[in-house]
Amino acid sequence: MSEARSLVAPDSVSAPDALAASDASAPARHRFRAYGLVYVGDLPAPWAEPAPPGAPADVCVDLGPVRGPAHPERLDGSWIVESPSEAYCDWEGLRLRVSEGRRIGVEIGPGATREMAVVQIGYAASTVLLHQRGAMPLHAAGAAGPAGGALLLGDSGAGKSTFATMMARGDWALAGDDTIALDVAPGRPVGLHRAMRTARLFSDSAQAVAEAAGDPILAAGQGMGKDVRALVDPARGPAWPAPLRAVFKLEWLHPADAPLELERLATLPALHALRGAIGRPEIPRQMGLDGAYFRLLARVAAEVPVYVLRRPRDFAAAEPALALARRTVERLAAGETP
Amino acid sequence: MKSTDLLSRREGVLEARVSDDELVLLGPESEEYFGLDAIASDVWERLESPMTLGALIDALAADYDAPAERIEADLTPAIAALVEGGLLSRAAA
Repeated sequence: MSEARSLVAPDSVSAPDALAASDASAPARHRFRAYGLVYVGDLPAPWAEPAPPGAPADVCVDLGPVRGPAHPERLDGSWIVESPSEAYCDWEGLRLRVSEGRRIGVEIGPGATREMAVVQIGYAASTVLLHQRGAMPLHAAGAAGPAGGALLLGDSGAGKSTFATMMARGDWALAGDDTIALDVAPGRPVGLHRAMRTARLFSDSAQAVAEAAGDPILAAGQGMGKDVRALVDPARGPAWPAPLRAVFKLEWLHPADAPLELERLATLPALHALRGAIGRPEIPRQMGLDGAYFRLLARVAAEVPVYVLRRPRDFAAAEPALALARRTVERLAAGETP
Repeated sequence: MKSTDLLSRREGVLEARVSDDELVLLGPESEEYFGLDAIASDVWERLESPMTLGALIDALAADYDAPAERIEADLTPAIAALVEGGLLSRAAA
């Protein structure tokens, strides 16, 4: 983590955009890759990795006036799904419109900040966009190494972000801390896309992660929820998407010296655990995606072992739990049964 | 349950195949998952169009080459469970 830097560090991913370069007078647009998609737009995304040169754009992010909803009295900060291909949100001065699974419109109004917009594009707006594409975003974290990837599920407060960040050491990298998209294209194994290279952590978690990694404390970000520290891992890790080897549902154990537990779930409880992780499930329900997502999740549950990993709620217990998760991934990749 | 009862799938049931011989169902109003083996999956697929219990028993008895009484004894509790789980509706004739 010696290359860790703050999420609010100067933009490192702006680069001349081949798509925008046709008009020499146009400002360079930012290009980045997240969730297996290439984004091109008016705002930077320090949370994402740079897009490969020449990769065609999947998503456009446009800063400017955003058309409001048909029924403005319904605005309460939640997403309004106007149709399967149009959704709108007005939150603390920030207006977002996501269209056709390929456009994110952003209007920064009074009370909103540019950083709020940057973060909302990465999390909420991308979740809606992935739903519009039928790509089933999961409220989950993940990490991957040379042997493949691990998906981390769990209730809010189960420690997903911290666990994923701590896994992302050595030759492992973060896949995401909050929202994950899987590669579920037919004809190949289920894969783990890289959502983000940053993690938002509560300050006590960030402190512990930084100390465990031998790094200095990381700079705080602003306006991103949690309270909040961000880690950016350097350009390393596997080729994405990484083959998904295991799913771990994280739970806490009491007392603090209780031994770790790793329990493999049968197919039906595994499917239930995965289904509980669908991000903002009210949105795909309104889009009529429940049946399609159920079939995708059943495929994941059938192909990838799902475990409950229980560990004491104590940072000292984190290392053995991390080692167990990594070892499980490596054994599964080698064709062994953990 | 009578042989004249009409069985039909409830709307909104989610279904997915998890292996060649196992189908998973989830009802619209519960979080209870049902795993159906190959024969139960066959029953579910036959009920894509509403059918009376008697017609279903006759069809299964013919296709599985088994006595109707045996089929009925095996089928009735399974149908009752699917009705109870909110996956099938049963209308008395």
